[in-house]
Amino acid sequence: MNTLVEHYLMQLQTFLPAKQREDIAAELRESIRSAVEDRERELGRALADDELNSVLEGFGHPMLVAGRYLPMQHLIGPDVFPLYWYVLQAVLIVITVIGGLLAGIALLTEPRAVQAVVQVAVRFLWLALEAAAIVTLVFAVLDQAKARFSFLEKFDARKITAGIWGVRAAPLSPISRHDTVFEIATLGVLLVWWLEWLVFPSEFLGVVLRLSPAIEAFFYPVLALCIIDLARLGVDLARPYRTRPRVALRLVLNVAWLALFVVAFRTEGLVEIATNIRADDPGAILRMAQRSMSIALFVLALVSAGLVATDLVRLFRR
Amino acid sequence: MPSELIDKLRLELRRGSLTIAVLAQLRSEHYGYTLRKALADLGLAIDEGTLYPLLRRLEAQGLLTSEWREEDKREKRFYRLSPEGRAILKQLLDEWRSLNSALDNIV
Repeated sequence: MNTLVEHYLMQLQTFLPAKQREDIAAELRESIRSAVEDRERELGRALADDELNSVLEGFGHPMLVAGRYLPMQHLIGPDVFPLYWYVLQAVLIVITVIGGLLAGIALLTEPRAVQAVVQVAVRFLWLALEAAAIVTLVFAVLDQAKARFSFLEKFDARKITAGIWGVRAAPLSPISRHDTVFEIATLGVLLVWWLEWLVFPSEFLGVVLRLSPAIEAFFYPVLALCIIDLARLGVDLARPYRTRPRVALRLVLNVAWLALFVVAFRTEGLVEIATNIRADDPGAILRMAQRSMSIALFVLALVSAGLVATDLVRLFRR
Repeated sequence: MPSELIDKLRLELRRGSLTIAVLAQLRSEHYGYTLRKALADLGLAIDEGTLYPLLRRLEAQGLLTSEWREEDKREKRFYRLSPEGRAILKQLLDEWRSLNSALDNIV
């Protein structure tokens, strides 16, 4: 057989499982040979290389042909993929926004700005890759679980209308899954930062800043609120519609967040200097950092107040 | 874009039909090359890169049986419909006929 054909088959075999390799190659060799012989009979002469190439083109690229012999597999199937895509986008956008903000701060405040921006960018690129890998892994497991327990096929509308944890109520309005996923991603990043599993760069105008011991009073309330809110958002994801009990729960949580932000706003000295690297007037920088913290807390309190107002309207609107 | 779309839709439309055609044609024994020619002569062209993996898959599913045998002094792999394949083909043909008749009514 022509060396062109043997090269083709050899390449194809490299993509096939060892057990089937010889058998499949023998069958294809025979088929190619028959096709070549037919064509040669038509032309009354041996085929030139380009004509032989046309015959092989009919069979397709060796990798594609070999791929069709392999069992069809996927990591995340079409049922789970839309939700996976939402979550992945949300997580990556949140990480990019935070990374972008920190890179912007570094650009404005660091003496060696380019170096600092590159450091932030590299750090967040790795963080994004890790987050993407974790999200992919979680959804791959979910897809396997779905296939094994077929819980998406065993659908019972009565279970959905039966309420959550026994609390039944009529649906008021749908909840956007996009919003829920973004809230989960934001709260997730806040939670891992709060637990100090994720440390953001803290150098600011030549001093290293850290949260002062005054923040300890807030540790468990913030942790508890994050966990309860994540559970609530998990329910929103599974049952994406508002009911009065769920709006009431969100209202209570938002009031608690609002109270926390107000108390934190009124607490002095939440930020302190850990190390002075090269600042001439560290006191002035600390005052600037504390003022920035106060502004951030004021904005968060305003946002929480807005959410409380929205929840109140939803709860009492007829 | 419209030609890509029509190619994609045509592919989806053909996928199930090819399986029925291959199973039906293998009520009599064929090896890959003659099967492809027979289908092409009857108006259903199928490229080799699709046909051979399809034959393997149908065999792995128990719908076909195959054996290597010498013909014209050459070893060839012959395929034939298995008893299980015959039963499945009957069900698929019933399904296809009912789908066809429904579509005829619709369009």
